Amino acid sequence: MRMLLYVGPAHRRDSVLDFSAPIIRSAATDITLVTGGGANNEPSLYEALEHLALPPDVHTTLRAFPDDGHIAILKEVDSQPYDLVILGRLQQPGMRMIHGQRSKLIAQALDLSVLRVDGLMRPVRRILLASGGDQYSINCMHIVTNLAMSLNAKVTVFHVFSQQSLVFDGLPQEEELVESFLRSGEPEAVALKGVATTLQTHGVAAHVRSRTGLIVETVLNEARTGTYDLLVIGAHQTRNSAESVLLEDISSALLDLSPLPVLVSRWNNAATIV
Amino acid sequence: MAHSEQRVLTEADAVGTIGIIAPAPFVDIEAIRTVQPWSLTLPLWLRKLLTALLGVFVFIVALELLKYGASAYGSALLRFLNIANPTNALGLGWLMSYGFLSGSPVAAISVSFFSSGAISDLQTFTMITGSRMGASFIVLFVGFVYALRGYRHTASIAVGILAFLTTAAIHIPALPVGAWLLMSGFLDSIQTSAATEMTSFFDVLIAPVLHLITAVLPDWAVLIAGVLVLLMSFSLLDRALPEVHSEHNAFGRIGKLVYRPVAMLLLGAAITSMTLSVSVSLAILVPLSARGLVRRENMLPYIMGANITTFVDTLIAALIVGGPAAFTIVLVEMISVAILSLLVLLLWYRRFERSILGLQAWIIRDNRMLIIFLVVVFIVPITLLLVK
Repeated sequence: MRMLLYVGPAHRRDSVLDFSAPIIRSAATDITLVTGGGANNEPSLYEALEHLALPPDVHTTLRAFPDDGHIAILKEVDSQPYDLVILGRLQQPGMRMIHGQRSKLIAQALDLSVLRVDGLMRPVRRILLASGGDQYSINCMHIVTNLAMSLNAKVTVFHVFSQQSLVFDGLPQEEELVESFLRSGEPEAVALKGVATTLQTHGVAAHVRSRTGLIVETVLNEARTGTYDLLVIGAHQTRNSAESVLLEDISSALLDLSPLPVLVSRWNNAATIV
Repeated sequence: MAHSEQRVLTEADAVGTIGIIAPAPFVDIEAIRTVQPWSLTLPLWLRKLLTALLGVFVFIVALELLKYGASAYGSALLRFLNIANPTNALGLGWLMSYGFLSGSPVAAISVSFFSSGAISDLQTFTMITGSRMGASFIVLFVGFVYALRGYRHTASIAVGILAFLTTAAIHIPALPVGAWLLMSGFLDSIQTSAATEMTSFFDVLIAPVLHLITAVLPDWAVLIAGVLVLLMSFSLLDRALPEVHSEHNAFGRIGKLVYRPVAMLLLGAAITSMTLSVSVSLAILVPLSARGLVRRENMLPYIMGANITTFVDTLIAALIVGGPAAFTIVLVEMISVAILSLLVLLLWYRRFERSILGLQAWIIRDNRMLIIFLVVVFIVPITLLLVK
């Protein structure tokens, strides 16, 4: 995988490097270390390179841009194709109130998968893949499959069943609802099982888990209580301008509130499972 | 019914793809057997228009009958029930809507009582609020009973409880806001002059009918006749209202996707301004999902929006029968509910959503909790009715 890692001045920079190092070492074929601030910040590139202790077969490029960190990332992504961008919070908490959440804006704006490293940073052993069970989730799974294979991590394919029946059907218990949903031939249930099967085919330990409740709350609750190390979500997708006005951005809410690093996965035509 | 498509089955029909033996003779059996009502030969839009006009006519007759009956017996009835304060009126409206299986007739009756001088403006306001509390309970009730104002409803218990809790959570805090708006005279300047003109116009048509009914029936029966005619008018209006086909619009994936709360609030408000009934608006969501499932995130703001525009028919009733003062009361009701809904949506929506859905889940956790809930929603309005 071709990866970009932002290593310039940022909130919890060293922790982000610690978290990213095993991912890059095990899954990257090419890595570009990027910073803003021009020549003044060039030493941070070399310091990060040393910190990461990359194996010699990983092709490494160091890039220092004269602009701010977020502009540096956008410029570098424009210059060549990447499979994954890794970055931490770019600003201190107080500055986010003034300038907005730049790392989140990048995660939303880029047309490729972005790993925003924040919250509880531990070696990635268990991945929580929150999926709506749509075709887009299936198309995006190359990135999580590659990461899980490289890191030997287990994956929980997690689906929140937030639908409520408008048709009188007694008082079903949550377990019954979830079970009947997963057994059903509903496209979402089929897709979720398909995702788990594909992961298993590639040697990744994976299972499907479903809960009922509000989507954001239930995913966050699972992330908090389930001893996971990474949350994977699909990027917010809209088919037309009407949908972009009408639809709630669940990914944005999860990026705001996740207690774990979040991988926002996007469909990449060229990407394959390696 | 598509009568013209019916024809006598021939051997060609029976053999299917083997081949046509002879042209099938076209015989409209239905036309021979039955004589069609003339109304069915009219275009659908014209039928709906005529039904709507008839519905409005009957609605106004009902309101006038209620006003007449209320002036004669309304005060006596309210004295008998000992409706002495706004709290009693709240309980009365709440309980009456249980009896009518709908809030709209009760709200219209409140306006009629007000126009006859049987209750004060504040009592009218709280009685209308009570009618909404009871009406939201109906969504739960119809899950068992199915039939409400001629519709076949299949709203579930969970949705019924959600509708009730959402209505209570907005309408009860809206009571002091509305009472202040009403007492301060803040909205008195927004009175309509159309009320008088409208009443005058319909008076010409309705006066003869009214005279006939009041001449034939004893005074005590006029109030009852008014209630029955009112129910008939709602039935006619239900048939005349435009059918909302929401399967193929921007909200077509309501069971799959999560919409912004403000979008769902506007959708609920827009649909209910056409259906005039929260329970009908909820039933309209069913075709949006093959399995009748709607995301919880979408339901709450939809009900909030529906609760605002469900007052449209009461506003019209006030305009026709109650005059500018009654119009102001209903307007205050709508504005106070809208203010509370928007405040919740803009400031505390996530907390509100969590609380309401948490409470709903707690109530439907088991049958015992559900029974306790049902008992409480009967005891509370009875208590309100009796408190002095």
